Amino acid sequence: MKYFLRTNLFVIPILLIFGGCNSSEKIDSSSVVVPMNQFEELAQNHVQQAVRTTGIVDHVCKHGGKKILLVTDDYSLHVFAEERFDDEIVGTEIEVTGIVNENIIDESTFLKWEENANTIQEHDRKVSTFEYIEMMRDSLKACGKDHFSEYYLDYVSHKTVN
Amino acid sequence: MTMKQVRKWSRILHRDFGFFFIGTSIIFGLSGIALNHLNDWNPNYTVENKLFTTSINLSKGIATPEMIKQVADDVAEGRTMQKYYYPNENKIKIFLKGGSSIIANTNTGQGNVEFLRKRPLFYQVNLLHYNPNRWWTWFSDIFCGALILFAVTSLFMVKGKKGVNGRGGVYLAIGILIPIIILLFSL
Repeated sequence: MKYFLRTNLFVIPILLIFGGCNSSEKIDSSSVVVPMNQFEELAQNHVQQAVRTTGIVDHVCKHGGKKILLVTDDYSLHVFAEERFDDEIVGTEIEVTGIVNENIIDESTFLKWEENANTIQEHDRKVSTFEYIEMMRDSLKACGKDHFSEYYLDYVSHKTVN
Repeated sequence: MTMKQVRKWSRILHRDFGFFFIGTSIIFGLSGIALNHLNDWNPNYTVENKLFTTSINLSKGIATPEMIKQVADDVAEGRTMQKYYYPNENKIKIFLKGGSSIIANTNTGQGNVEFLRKRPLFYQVNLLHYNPNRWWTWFSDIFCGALILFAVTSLFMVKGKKGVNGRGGVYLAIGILIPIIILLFSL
């Protein structure tokens, strides 16, 4: 017994830690429904608010699995989570509840992209990246805005739609 | 605590934690190699592509769910169709159960089926490496703590020529130098 305690005492705290943990509870919100086909125009009214939207999961990010691409015929939207999504979710239609967030794409973003593009070794890829940045810059100028908004959701919960 | 006692406890801790974490070491070792090469292979699934041509009209507004299911049955027999959508006017993407999918050009009827199959063992160990839930976060944190413990206790386990004052010290220096050199070349 004495031998057991001496050599295995450090294993016991591990088991106690496991016995004492509670899983975190998900926030469940009675949020506004924003259809995917109106997401681009309506999202700006709901930044930092919980919304629900429905789409098909096109894929789960292979680098960590904490991002999904939600798609419909009209729109696609990234959903970011703190925990990994189950791969089985791909190809199913789900209603996601999430907090709307906005990425601002403006001149400072283009400058950062150019900085990164300068590190690209492959000539053709480098040229096409600079062309893309210039095209984005021209589009921004053409629509008379100082930035583009790219919306995404911070995941709260989801349910499968049959 | 005397040096003799430090050495004795180092052996006890190294040995017992070592036994406890053999399984976890293999999990992280295998998945570590698999995930280190994400750009070279798909560590979770084997991917097989098959080209096909269908005479069924898959155009948006014309194709019915039954027609789309027929294409899925024809080109991916035995796989259940889930959902589909049109990424653009000329393209349809059909999802099959298990992660496989079909992409077809609605104008030409030509398409590609991507069959995914889970890699046995790698799929499971990679899932754990990805940190699937908070329980595993706790467990793997403890494992990481144990790795530090292994490193520290190994300094005291053996004395003499084979210990840290002899051959062990040379290995220790080389093991520290390699990551430093790689880091310097990466900056």
